Amino acid sequence: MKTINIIILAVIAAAIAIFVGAYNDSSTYADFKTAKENLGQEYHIVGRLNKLKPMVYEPLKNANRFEFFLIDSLGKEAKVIYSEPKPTDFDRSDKVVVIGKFESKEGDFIATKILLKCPSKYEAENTAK
Amino acid sequence: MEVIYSGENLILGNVGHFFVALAFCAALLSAISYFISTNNKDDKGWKKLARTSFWIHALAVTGIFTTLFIIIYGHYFEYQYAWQHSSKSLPWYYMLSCFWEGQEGSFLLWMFWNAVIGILLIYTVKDWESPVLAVVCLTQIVLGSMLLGLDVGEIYKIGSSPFSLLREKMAANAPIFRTPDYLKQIVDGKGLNPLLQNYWMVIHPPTLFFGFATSIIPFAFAISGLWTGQYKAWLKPALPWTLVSVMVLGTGIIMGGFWAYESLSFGGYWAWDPVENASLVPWLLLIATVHLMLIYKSTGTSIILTYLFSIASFMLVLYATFLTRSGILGDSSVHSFTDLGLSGQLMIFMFIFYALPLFAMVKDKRQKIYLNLIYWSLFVANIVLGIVSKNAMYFSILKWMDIAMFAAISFWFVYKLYKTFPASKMEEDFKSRELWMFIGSLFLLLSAFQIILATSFPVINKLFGSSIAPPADAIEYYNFWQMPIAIVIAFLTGIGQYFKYKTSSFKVVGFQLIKTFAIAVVLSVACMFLFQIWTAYYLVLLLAGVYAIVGNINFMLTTLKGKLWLAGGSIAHIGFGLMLIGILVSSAKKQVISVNETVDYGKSMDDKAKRENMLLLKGDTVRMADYLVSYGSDTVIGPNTFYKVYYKGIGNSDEFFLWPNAQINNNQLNANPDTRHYLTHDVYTFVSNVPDKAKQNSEPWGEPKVHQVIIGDTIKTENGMVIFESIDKNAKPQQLRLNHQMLGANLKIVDGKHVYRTKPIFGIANDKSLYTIESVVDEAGLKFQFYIKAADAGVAAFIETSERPAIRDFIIMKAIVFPYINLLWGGVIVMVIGFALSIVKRTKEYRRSLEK
Repeated sequence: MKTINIIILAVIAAAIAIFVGAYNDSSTYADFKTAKENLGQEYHIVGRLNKLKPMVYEPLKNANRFEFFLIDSLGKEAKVIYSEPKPTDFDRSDKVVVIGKFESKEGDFIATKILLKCPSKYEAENTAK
Repeated sequence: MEVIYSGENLILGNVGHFFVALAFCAALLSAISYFISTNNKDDKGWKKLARTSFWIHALAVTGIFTTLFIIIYGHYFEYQYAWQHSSKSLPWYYMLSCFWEGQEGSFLLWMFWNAVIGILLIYTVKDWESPVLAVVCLTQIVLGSMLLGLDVGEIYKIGSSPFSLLREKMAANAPIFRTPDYLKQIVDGKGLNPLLQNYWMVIHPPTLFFGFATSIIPFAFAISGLWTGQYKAWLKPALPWTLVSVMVLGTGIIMGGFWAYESLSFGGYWAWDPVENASLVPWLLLIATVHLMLIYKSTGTSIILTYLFSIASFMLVLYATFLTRSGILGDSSVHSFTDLGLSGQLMIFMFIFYALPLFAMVKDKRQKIYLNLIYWSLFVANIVLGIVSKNAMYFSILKWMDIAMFAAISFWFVYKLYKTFPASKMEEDFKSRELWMFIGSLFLLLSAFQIILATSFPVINKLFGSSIAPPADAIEYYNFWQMPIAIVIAFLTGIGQYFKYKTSSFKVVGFQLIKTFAIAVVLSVACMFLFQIWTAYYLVLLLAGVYAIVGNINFMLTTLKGKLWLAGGSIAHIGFGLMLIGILVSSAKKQVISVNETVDYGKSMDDKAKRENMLLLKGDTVRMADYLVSYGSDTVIGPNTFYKVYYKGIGNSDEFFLWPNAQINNNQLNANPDTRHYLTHDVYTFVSNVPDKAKQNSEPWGEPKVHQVIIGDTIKTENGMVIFESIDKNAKPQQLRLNHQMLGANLKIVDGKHVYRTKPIFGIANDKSLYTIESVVDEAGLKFQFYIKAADAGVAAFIETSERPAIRDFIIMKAIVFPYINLLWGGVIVMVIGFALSIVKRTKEYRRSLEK
């Protein structure tokens, strides 16, 4: 077998490894129920804020703790704890993606990252007029 | 009812529209003429026509640019673009940034660069002018269509014009537009996103877009090669241009990183955000393309991959454009554009260019007919169905047909390449330079593949209905693959050059390799102690970076004998090695110093939770690593609030102020960091939260409590102890020129370690009427009244206290030390110098080959 063919085969093998790896290491979009059934497993959960319940951020007591309630796409609600300051633009976002996990059946959802989906400024302007 | 509007300047818009139409038509004419000229070489007339129309096109594009600038500069807010993206207070250089805040402006920028490139190509590429410019014109047609703003029927529009009027873009029945002189009510535009009001944002987008635009050159040459049947001659003129593309795009990307580091608060220069990735991937492929071109130039092999990479680089630029502008990244990226309704057009863009190489290559008449028939019927089906149908099943069938077509085009094209170019006869000797370069190029491809795959998850989800989420920890996810690849590439840059093309004597090479490796190991050990890196994996990366530097310096000294003009490649490699070390040390040894270890938050706090943000009360001093840090005050300048943070080194005389700032509007905080730069490290600081002062001030006061007191008494309140120290018998405030007697109660408030003093006043007017002047201590949340009145035993003093939550001025801040980050920036500069030298060298080579 020619050297060049071996190299090309090796590259193809590496590409397949990357492909499989990319799929395996990626997290999936899920809901709170699934996350609770798989404790310790990280998920992306898309939901909306429950603005009727309190969002708690008390920087004077603890600058690294923010709590709020999120309703997932199936309507299930959970309290989310985030150990960072309250993200900017949080109040304005209608859709929130939290990345994290449940550590126990009774515990709250521990988020390591929050992505905000804000209504774009174009839309915001139109509704304001 | 028709309203006749007053005060609008419609001439500018009409001029703008005219230029847009002219640019589009001239590009169309030029493309057709160049097309005919390519197929009829001897007919000079078409070429002349094509050139003239390209010049008209280029001038028209400049006209669009100028008109739009006049509209923004003159604050013609009747135009949506000016209103949306600018304001009166904007300095002129930020008005340029207005262009790229909107999609139309950035398409325009791309077109402008393409026009510049086109003119340069016309006068430099000689025989290649017609086919290359035909391809350039095709992109100009497509880009130009993005600006047309033509309505086709009720629902579909072609492009989005930057010259639309505000009243056309907004809901037409908005109440404001019912008055003819609505313009008088529009006092100012919405203004430019404050994040873009940064000098890096004036030069980063044009540089990046110039890089994107130049990627058309290797693509256009490759297509021309296939089209004219001169399969190999294009590589020589294309090589220096491809290097230009690598240099400019690379500079543009890193400028973006530097901007992010200087003005965004995610704490770094690279976040593996899809938008960043989308620009990095074409760059990686362009570098691989350069190396493959060099292999071809010296050995005549690897032509197939050269074609594929030249074409793929531009395809990926198109794909990147689609990703960032179609809105598909909405969930996964922080800075992509929202969909402007152009996603359909962007898909057509990709659809056309994807088939172009195959169209250029198919010469057989019957094959041509088949290809055209299948391709164009599917093309029409896509457009018709996209506009007319809402039926999901049709869409699904069409989607699979499209996927099948894309696959078929790819296979057909690669098959044709294999048929045209007989099996690659590359030297497979491990002692040949081309083999190592080839392997390096493949590793660049792997790197690009991994990044684009992970970035494309939203696209994959949309196509196949899956629900793969982007990686939770992007940095860890990408580094897992990118780090080993970077290690291999860095070693290859050092090793590869010692081998000669075709084959070399192992004795000579072996000696140099052992020598450089030994030096690199020694230096790496020194670096290990200097940088305090003890992780084995990181040490391998460190060694790879050091080796890239040592290997290339040694190559320059021994083989090139220090001739800098020839050493472009080696210098670029050295830059890469420096960058790698800079990236490694600044991220692996990055230290968040704003960690509060002393405060115990109790059990409720998760042990593992991060404590990377610190509370700084005004006036307090807190220790952060080797600094004592305090927050002084805030100052509002324009839209920004600046927070004065004072750093004092412990055990040394180092002291400085940082002014991290933030824009606060609608209760939202948009923080920008401030950084203290040292040669060996940076201290990076931003505020992650600040109190809402307006809200605090509107808190209601609690019920007043009355206390009968004598001097020396202490009143206990929720917010602290109040000590009634003495009475000031002449407590007249200076601004009151009243001839009354006024008594003041000297009060001392002790709240933890804070002490405040205040003096409520009791006054007796000349007519014997009594009154009080209250005093407020916001920081303690206390309000006082003081009076004297009859009591059980004669007269007594009374103090009335009201409480509310204390108003605390504070910031929550995060501070990070990035060690040796200057190695990264320095490495980039060295790399760019290397590219520049290579461009000069390869251009000279090309000129010399022309003279022969």
